[in-house]
Amino acid sequence: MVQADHTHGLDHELPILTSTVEKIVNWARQSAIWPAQFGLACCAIEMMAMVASRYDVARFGAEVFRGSPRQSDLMIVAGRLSRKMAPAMRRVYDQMPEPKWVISMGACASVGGVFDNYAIVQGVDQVVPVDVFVPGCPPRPESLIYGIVQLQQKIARSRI
Amino acid sequence: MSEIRTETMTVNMGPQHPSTHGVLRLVMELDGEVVQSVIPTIGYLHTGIEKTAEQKKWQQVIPLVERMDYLAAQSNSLSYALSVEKLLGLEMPQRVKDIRVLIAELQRIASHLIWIGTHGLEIGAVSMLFYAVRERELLLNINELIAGFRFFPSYIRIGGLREDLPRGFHAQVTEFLDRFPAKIDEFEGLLTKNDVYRRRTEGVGVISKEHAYAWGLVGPIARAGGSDYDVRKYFPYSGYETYDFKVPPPPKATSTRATVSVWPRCARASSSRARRSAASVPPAPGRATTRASCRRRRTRSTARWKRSSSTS
Amino acid sequence: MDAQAIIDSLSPLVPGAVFEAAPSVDFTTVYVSGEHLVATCQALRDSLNFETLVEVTAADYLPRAPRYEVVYHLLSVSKRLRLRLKVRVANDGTLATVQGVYPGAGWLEREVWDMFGIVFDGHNDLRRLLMPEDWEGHPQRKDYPVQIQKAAQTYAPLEVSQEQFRANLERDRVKRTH
Repeated sequence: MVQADHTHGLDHELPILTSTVEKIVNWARQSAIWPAQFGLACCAIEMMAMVASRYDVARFGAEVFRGSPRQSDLMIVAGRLSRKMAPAMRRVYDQMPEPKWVISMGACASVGGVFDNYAIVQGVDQVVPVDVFVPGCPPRPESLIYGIVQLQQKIARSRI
Repeated sequence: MSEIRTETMTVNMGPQHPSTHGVLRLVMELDGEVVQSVIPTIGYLHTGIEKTAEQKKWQQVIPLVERMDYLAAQSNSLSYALSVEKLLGLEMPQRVKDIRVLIAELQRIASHLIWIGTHGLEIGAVSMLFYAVRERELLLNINELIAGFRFFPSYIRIGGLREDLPRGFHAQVTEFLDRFPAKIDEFEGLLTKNDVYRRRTEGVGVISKEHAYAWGLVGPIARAGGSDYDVRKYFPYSGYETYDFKVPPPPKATSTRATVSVWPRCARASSSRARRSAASVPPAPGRATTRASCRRRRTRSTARWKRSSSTS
Repeated sequence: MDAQAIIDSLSPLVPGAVFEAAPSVDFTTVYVSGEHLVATCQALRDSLNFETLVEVTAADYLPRAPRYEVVYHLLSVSKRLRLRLKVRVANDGTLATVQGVYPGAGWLEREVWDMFGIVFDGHNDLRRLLMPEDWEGHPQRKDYPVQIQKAAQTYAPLEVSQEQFRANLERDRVKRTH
């Protein structure tokens, strides 16, 4: 007999939800990823479009883009990384506290993109370890959101 | 009581900074909030586009060049296409010129929208960004309608355009242009008379006209200083000489705020120019032919054009 | 004004200079020799109302000698004119800076030095603009490769030496006590 059940699956005498520490911690980490602003070039504009009202990324937990890397846990490398900028980027990455993740957004950040030349680092994974690569030039905001969702799933699978 | 120690503070606003939007390094000497001197370092986004373009075929350079100024992407490819057409000695048909002017003006509006959005964001009026990007999304929809891609459509080619305008283009552009002037009023209402904004920007970074010329600054900065130099009026290209428009007059105040007050007039002028060129581009492709030899060789796109002209 | 008219008005102002009209598809182009470049720019700015220097760039015509042509784009807002001045420079040649005439030339000439290796005499700050400070080679020369195999440099060297760093600490420690 189906009755309206307002206990939501909990025993009303003992309202306790059990899980593992790992699951809870991972759920907390994945649901509130705060990116550090690391917009370099055109992909940064697409990232701004993702933050704006049409493709609101705050729904996915990336509520604030922190200005300081010390207060963020995700670095979205948006744009082409030039050789002059590489040490600065490494420094920003080093300043982020653990746990931290990196999304390489766009073709230029992933493999050097359209620019196969002396000035552009052919892939930011030469400088920082990357978790998710998002292809596109620039990737649509929906692509980047998909990348963030994939990262969330990766965090859910990870061991703490 | 010990005397107050006053000295300037040297701050490095390093290449990654929330408000550089792109990368620029400034080593500033600050006295409170007033900047006494700055040593800027650029080159963090040097891409080697010129060198890479030397290796490519002429048409392959168009996507490279579009990524130079990524806010008004097709203006870059327009200037490249115009230069190559000058070298080839090609004269574009009127329809191509009109469509190019229309696209250039819409891109100009898009670029200004990002400027006003990020300008407000960095000054502290954060909601400006959301308002501006909302309008820009409509322009990116138009880009997508033309060539399938939001940012870098590669629509303007050497010798003309990639293909003719699609169906529904006119409706969408007219809808945007009908809606936009009210939005400019909205933006002006947000910023121009805002007291905090005015106190932050009035009298800051004043550059006079002579100073601007001596240092090679032309464009909105020179216009804020009192110049009326506008390439579209002085050295018109792509049919601009047939358009009747006014360059926004230089404002009386010479300050950063002047740039902001010039902008709404620029945007209104842009949208009226866009409307004028949209009116002159008839919806049906009709009898548009291009005399450029490199376009005729692309038989595949000619066939597509013929098909679209018969169905619309 | 076409090239000949510009040359005719310039010749009395810059004695001894030889100008050459060059063919061009867009606007007037005039060749000038390196020794008379600064005097020509001075005359153009003061007498012919070319108030703005818009661009300084260069082109490398490798097998040909002289190898480079440095190009100056000038703009006269009051007269609605554009002018292109070209100077032929040999390999390892130098050129006088026009910073005294147009202050905006400072960074433009730095870029030409960075990309092509043309030295500008009298420039107050000739160092790399676009490439990292310790980069070797001048990328836009024709004999510089487009693609290079080089690992990305991930750590920047310290900008002060160890001794300087300790001295700065000491200096600040002393100041902080009052």
